[in-house]
Amino acid sequence: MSVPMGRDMLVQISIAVAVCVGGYLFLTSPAKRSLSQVMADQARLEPLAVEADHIRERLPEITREIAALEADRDQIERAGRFARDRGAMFKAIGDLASSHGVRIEQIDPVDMEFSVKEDSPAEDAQAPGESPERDDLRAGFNVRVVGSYSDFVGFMRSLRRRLGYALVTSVRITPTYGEGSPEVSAKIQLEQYAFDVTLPPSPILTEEGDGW
Amino acid sequence: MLEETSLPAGRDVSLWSGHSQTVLRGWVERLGITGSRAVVLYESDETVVKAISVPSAAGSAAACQAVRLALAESAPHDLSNHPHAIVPICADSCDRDSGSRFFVACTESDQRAQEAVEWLKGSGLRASGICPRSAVDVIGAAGIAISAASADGVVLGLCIGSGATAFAGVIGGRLALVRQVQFGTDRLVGALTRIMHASDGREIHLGPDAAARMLERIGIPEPDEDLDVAEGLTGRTILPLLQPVLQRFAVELKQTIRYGLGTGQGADLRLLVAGRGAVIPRLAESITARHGLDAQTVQDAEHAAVEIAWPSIAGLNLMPCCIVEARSARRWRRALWQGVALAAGVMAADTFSTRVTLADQRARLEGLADRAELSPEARDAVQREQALRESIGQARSLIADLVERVPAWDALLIALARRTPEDVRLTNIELTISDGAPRCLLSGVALAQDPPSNPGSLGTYLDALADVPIVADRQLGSTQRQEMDGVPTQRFEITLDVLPLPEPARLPETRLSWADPQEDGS
Repeated sequence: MSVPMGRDMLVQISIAVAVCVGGYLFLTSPAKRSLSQVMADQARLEPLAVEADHIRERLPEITREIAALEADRDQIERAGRFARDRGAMFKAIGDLASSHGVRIEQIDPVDMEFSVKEDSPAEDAQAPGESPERDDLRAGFNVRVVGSYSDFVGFMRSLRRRLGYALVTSVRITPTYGEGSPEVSAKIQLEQYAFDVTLPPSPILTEEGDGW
Repeated sequence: MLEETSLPAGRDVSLWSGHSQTVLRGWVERLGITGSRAVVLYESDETVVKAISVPSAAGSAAACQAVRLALAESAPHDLSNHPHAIVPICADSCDRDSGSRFFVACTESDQRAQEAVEWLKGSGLRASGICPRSAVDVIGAAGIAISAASADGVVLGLCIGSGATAFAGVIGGRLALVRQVQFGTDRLVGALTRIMHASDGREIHLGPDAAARMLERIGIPEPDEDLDVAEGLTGRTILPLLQPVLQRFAVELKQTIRYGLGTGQGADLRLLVAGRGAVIPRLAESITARHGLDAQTVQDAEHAAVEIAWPSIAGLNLMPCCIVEARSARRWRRALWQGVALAAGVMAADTFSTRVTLADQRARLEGLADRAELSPEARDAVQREQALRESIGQARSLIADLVERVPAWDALLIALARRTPEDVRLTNIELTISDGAPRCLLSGVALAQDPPSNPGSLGTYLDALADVPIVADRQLGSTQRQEMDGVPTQRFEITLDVLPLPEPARLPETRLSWADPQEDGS
């Protein structure tokens, strides 16, 4: 049987198709789009909700961790105060020398730039553009002391243990032969470090962020 | 209800209007079936009906094409613009390998078909089909013969209609012959309309209606039978008029048996007669007696062919092209809008389902949003913890790289003081860090021993320095012999590679794991 495809039939088919397509576009399609959007939002929020639950569970532990971390930070800041404060450094060296019975003949501060060895993890941590500007510091001092050998050794031990982040990079010891007990004269090159532990802005917890 | 009425004689459809339509409308109204669908079986002079055989070896499509070509040759009009139908006859009884397949094909002028439909419509009915009766007779004759066939017998079905007669022969249960001749009982009626001479010499002239009624009433009379004493009609009066027609019937039958079924099979032939001619008294006997055959009239002979062919009626429908197209268009339109309605229903169901799901998912989303929202205190705590971790982590990294492992110069100096013997005097000690490696350069004077090859106190000193735990290696540099105050001495230089020692106090005693909480899930 042949299919009548006259103009009337074409018009009716067009109307039927228009009705179907229009109905889909105006009724079904918006609902499906909304559902897709809601599902996408759910997929985005699901991990955040799980993480938020986890954070709520861990909140007491986080509080304890913050206290411990702040103690660490204070320790690092205290250890680096000699590099940031020359006066304190001079006073500390003088006190150490007095306590060990050696004489400070000369202290010269040396301007130094902070640098990190190549290929070190520390350099990776300071990759440009990934971390904010750090305020780490390296300060140099040339110290000349005179005293007995044993006092000088004690003085050296105190430099290592009681002057924070100190690094004795060079020592030249020569004996002095004068009146009285034998003494040594030492020229010490000392480096003091201070490390920046100020809090950087957190990139994931800003007000504009969509997390939490 | 069974009611008989007289309709105008003749097979011209145009004659049907008027009285016949009024009578039919009265029946329809009395039965209360106005508007019902009806099938019209009709006969018309313009109807072309052909029984055509095609070799079974031909495929169905080719066979239909051949039958259509044969019908187109016989039809006075173009088949594409006029209704036509092709129906296979008893396809199941044909031998596909060696026999023939039989088709009945019919066509009608579109105008005449429309007139028939209009006639039925004017009578209060709706035409669901109009079929030529002679085509029905062909299928009926074949059905009658096949239904009576035996495994080894020969059966000839004969369906005598008003305008045509159909022959169908079955040999051994297989349809072997289908034939139609345009020769029916109308010829007998026509013969009786000629002038007859009564026994008293009076001329008698019967009209078509009267002749038809008389034929149905008296059939083929005996020669000395008194038919109508009042009119003076006897068998001898009308037999001369009927004899040529009967002779023609006999010749057609004889040719069918001889050429269609083969000679010599007449003795075993079983002849079954149906159709309108079967109810005319003694007509079948008059035809078959000439060949020594015994004709059997089937039960309900006049309508047997219709009953047998009824399943094929739909295939023989000759509805006008415009009506067929209109019905087809209506069906397509109905199907189209049913499809639209179905699609709308599916869309509505889909939309409803989607919106229900959307409402559920929105509620779940709100729950998720509430869960994902942290209190300001918790948010600040997390921020602070992460900031502290990041800051201290970087500082730790730098500390570990720069000042965690430092040379313990004081320990080295103590070791030198303890290991330097009395006969060795150090004149200079230089402690340096070169390329990150701490080194110690010792310069001094030792008492020389004889012979010079004896290492003496300097060798012992070197061995003693090697035992210092923080000394990784020692190398003796340049040596020079000289005398001091008349004592042979030896100036020397020794380089010591010193191991840096870890200084744990420089790293914060962090009591926490520094692993990323995202990774370990703690």
